[in-house]
Amino acid sequence: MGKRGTRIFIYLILAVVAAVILLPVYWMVIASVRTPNDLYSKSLIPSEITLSNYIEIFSNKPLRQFHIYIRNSLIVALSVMCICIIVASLAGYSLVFISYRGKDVFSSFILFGYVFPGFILMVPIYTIFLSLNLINTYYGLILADLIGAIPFSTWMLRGYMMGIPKDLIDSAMVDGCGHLSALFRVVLPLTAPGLVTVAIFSFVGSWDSLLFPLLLITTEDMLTLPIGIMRFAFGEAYHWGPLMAAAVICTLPPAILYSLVQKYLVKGLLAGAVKG
Amino acid sequence: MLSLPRKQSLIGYVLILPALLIMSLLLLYPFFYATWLSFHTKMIGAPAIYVGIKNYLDVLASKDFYIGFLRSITYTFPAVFLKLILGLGLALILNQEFKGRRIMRSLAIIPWVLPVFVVAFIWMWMYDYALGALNIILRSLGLPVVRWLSIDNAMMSLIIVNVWKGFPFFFMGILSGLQSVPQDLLDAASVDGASTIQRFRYVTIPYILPVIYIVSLLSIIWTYGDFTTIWILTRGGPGDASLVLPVLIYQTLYAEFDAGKASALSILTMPFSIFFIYLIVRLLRR
Repeated sequence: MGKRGTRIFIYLILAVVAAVILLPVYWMVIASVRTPNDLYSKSLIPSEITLSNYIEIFSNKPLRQFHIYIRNSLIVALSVMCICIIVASLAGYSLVFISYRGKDVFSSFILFGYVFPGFILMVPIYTIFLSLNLINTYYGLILADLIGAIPFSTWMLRGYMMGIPKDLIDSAMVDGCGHLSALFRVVLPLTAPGLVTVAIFSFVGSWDSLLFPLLLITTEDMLTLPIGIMRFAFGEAYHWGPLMAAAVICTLPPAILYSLVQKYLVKGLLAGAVKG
Repeated sequence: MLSLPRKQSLIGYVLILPALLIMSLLLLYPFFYATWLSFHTKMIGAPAIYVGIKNYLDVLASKDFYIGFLRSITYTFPAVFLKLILGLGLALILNQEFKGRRIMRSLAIIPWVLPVFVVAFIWMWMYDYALGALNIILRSLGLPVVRWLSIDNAMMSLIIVNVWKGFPFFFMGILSGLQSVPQDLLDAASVDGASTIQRFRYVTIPYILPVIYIVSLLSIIWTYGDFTTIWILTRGGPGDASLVLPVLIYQTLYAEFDAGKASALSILTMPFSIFFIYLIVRLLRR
């Protein structure tokens, strides 16, 4: 095979990969704008386009209160995000720039928490939260999401902060800065991409969480999106149109956030996971 | 007045305290509580009664645990292996210079950007027997249609979903590893007469091996703990065809309301996780 043959072969492979990646996304988007009759035509291409599925999911019927699920998901995910940014900034700074005894143990504990599978804790979390009356509350959902989000955020910010020269902190200290003002004036501005990445990952992690809401929520008005939109799928028959319209809307916040900071994401992910 | 070093370390402890407190209360304490619960019979809403190792004997005597473990392994290892092969292959291709490379790189991370639950719903719709895209395509090619989520095919179909969603993570990690391979090292190898395959084998591979190792380990843990995909698509079924351990624990808790037995089950899933967690911690703490 010549150089040109190789090139054509590579483009052929890439075309297949692109099709495999795009077909499911296309199938979601296109189903969200088709009428039920059109879906039953069993064709990959729609014959007409409609927004009726989007109107339907926002029309607020009993057991299908999409805007309530959105509200709940936003409240929980934004809270988790704020708590993570604050707690992880402080902890990351402590782990990277201050020396004290036990630091290695703390680092290992946080790394351990980052890779610990959350499902192992579903029984005790359910039992404990039940006895603390945290069932059907935002507090319960937020606390449950923090289990994974705090160690993850801390480990990731720690990775970012290790890239900052220690001399910068030392000279700030010589200039009379305390640790807190060194954190706010020197470290945080330099870790801005890291903070944004942590914010996005903690938001999306909570936006995506299914197991703990499944355990902790029993009332309609506290459901979050992953469980809530199942209501569109299982009614009298399968409602693919409304379900896919809801799926498109659920995709928007993470997709927009990720695309805003695409160039930092890979670096951020690897600062947390690979380099460390 | 505290001396400066002591004051320093005090600030260190204060700043890390919130993170440690949250993790102790939400991770460490529940973990020990689960261990304690596993030696008790604890129906939800009733007090716990000490029963010794009865829960463990019950769990180990019924076939559920072995089936769950088998299903988890059958899900995890093929999925991780396929993600690695696809991610590595795509990273090697997209590390070359050619037109359209940037677009393909952005395209390749799309599945990773979608929420897991959205991915699960999309694939449920892809797999629909009568109306799903896959069977429409098979039908138009004159091929027999497939019951994607039947008892025989469910595990394979779930693995496809997991691979589709997860290979970009491997792709991104390995690509960044490839980009860290020093060009002059590759050039030097060429000058010394190394073939393309030899350069790949003796220069590129040693450079990306650590990335491959850590990304695979993380993926093993995450895939082993995947609840969302399986819960949405099959609920562990049909029958016990996809009854992986996280779903089995959930069902034990909900069907029997026995937190003690479900805890014993959870603890028994741990040796597997702990082994891989140990490898990751050792690798990253170095």
